[in-house]
Amino acid sequence: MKPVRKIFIGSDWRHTLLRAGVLGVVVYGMCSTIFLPIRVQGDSMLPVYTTGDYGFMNTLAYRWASPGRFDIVGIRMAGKNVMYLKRIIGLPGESVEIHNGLVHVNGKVLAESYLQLRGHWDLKKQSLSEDEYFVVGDNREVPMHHHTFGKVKRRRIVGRMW
Amino acid sequence: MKKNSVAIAAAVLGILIVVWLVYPKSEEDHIRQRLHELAEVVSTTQQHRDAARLIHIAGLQQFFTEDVSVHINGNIPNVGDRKKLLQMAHVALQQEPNLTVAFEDMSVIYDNGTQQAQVNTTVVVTGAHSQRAKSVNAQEMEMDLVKPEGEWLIKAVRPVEVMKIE
Repeated sequence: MKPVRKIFIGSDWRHTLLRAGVLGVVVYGMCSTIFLPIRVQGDSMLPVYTTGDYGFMNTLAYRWASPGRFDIVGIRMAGKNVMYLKRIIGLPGESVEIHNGLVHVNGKVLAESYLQLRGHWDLKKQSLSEDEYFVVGDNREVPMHHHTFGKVKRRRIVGRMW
Repeated sequence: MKKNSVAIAAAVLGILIVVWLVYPKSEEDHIRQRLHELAEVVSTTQQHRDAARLIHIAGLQQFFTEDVSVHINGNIPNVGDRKKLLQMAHVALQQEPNLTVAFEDMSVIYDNGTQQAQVNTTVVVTGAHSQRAKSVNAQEMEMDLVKPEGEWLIKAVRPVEVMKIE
């Protein structure tokens, strides 16, 4: 029993306690600022994410880079406790439209290999300004009017799923 | 010596906890508490049936001004008075017997001069049709609150557009 005690508690319990405390503070700090733990609710991102899935969101992903096409990102509402999880399909300055479920960006069909569920969505041309992205979920089987998607301002994008 | 240090640390911690508990709450804290109470009243369970449900819904009126204006989103008609709001709540709560409402990420701007406040929050509504089938809806909202007679009342509710379609 003694070696086990040494491994888990250490020879000096005060040092162990201090180390555990520091580790706890570091993990808490990282999980509340850089790697936000995410618990998914809803099926908007099927088949990649579904209710009950867990993950982390890297909030530094876009500190030195711009959000990219196909990135799965968190969209903040009033804060970061509750966010939308969506995929970027349109970048600033582009136009996005959907015909019979096929996404067209600047008039060309966008290849979306990740899609398994595609419905008959139709959306007229949406022009994006210089600080706007077009985001949508992967579960396009849901009727379009039941799905929350559209143009979103850059400042609302919290980070990228990790 | 060590025992003394531990006792002093415990005493300081105890004093801090007591100060934290008895320290007078700010108006912002009162507003947050008021909205959490509203969330509790709106949330229903299967136990809230018939008469109990009516009493439960009547409890809602203490949170709104008579001329409350509520805009939720495009699919739900706007409401311009408290009576109509309660009627709508009655219908909605009958359709959703298990409903949980929560206000997340609440930020409060309080104007001391006018006794008015503005709240920005994410409203999360979870409906459970069965143990397995749950529906979750979230919407960012702005609310205007006033304090005419000692209690904070909601005067206006409007949605904040996060994603936009032309």
